[in-house]
Amino acid sequence: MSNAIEIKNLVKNYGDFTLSIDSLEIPCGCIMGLVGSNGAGKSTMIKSILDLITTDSGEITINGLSNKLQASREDVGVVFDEIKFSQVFTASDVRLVLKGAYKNWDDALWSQYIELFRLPLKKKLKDFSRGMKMKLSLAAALAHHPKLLILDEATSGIDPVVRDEILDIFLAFIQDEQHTILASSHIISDIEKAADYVTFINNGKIVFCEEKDVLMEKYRIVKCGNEELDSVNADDIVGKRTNTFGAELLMLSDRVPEGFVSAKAGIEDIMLMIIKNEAARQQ
Amino acid sequence: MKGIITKDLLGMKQVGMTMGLLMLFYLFLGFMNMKDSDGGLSYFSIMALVINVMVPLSCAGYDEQCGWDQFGAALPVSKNKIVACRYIVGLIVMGFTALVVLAANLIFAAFGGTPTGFLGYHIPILLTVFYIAVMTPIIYKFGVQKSRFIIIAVMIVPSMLIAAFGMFAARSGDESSMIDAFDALSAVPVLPAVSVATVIAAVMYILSMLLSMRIYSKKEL
Repeated sequence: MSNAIEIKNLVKNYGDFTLSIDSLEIPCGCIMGLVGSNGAGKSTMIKSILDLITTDSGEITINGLSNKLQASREDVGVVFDEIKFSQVFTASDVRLVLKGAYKNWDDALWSQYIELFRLPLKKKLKDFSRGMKMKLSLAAALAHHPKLLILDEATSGIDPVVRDEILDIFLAFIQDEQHTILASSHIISDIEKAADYVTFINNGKIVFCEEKDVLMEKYRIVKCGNEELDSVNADDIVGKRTNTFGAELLMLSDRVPEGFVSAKAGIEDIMLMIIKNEAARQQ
Repeated sequence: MKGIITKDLLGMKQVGMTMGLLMLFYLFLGFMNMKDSDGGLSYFSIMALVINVMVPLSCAGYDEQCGWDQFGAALPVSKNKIVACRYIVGLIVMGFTALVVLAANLIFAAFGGTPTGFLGYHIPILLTVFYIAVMTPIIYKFGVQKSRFIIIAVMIVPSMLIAAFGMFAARSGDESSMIDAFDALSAVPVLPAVSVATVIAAVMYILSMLLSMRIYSKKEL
């Protein structure tokens, strides 16, 4: 299986923050969810992939081409957290601009998406709702037949109904095994619903990059009282959330002590507990 | 490149209407002072200069406001081409306003008015080239918001220096030095001077574009 994105020895130093990725491969035909807290390095990673920032070192390829090459962006569709066109523009204006920018621009496909999303062509963007703007961004990102779709917090601030509609579009897009999505999001439920792989970034470093189903099986949440807590080997605890009556522990599934009640860990549980554990260790 | 130029031209919709109305107003004023050799269309020509400078500046402002630079750099267009497009749009606007001023002069002359003549619209264009050449790299370096004061200084300082020179001459009672200076200027043969100024402006425009490309290529978006 070929890779849509390959990152090797990437370093971007901002002085007070450093993004450092030794190696990351995103295979073609999958949805990669990128999760992490604010300032963890998700956007810096996306900016590095799109060559929007100058990195200190490292190599990035998109569909086998260096990300420095103009041609590598021909097959990439990008959706940012906000639509990046002037508010006086209409959807028709957006089409005119992008038609002149992409070689593979497809007017018929654009019209299909505009119809599907029920978007007005002559209304100014300033009169669009947030959901409409996001749908327009998505139509703009898809209408040139991209192989890779990069979404930076694209679903944030959108109501669940529109989010669900957008997720359906992603799932339809990914039906073609040459298509790939890299999506960073704070909305973990979206990642849980749609992603095949999950990459978790914390403090500029990748904590894990796993297949979602494997990840969900890998960890368990163990609930125990204070007395039981003392009997658990501290080395087996990946993360901990304590309260007056006891604690919730994040543990590897094969390390859960016998007789303890455990439940499946969600991505949010895994993420939060690892962040807390990391913060506690640093203090 | 076509898409980026289209984006800039479409972005002018907002300021274009206001500027168009202002030009109409100054055209009307010109017709009111039709026989005045010092007035006529000279204000209209100066307005064209203001438009030439304001429109690309406003476009850069709108781009900054909506975060276009980030999106633009993610398109399959090199950063150098994105910068070149801004300069091409500057030339398109200049060409357009020059044609409008020329047409207005022809109509003006047909109705018996005193047209501004070749220099009346060539000098504003040269000044436009100068201002755009100076302003654009500053905007790329610092952004529109931060550049505002520098740009105001670039626009105002030359006229303030002339005014200060005049005031100084008047106060010292030695107005002859200023008159001498203007006499010396008027003694310069017009056509060669304008030709040299045109070449200098063209070189400045190209150098400015190269500098902007250099700044933009290193910019974190």
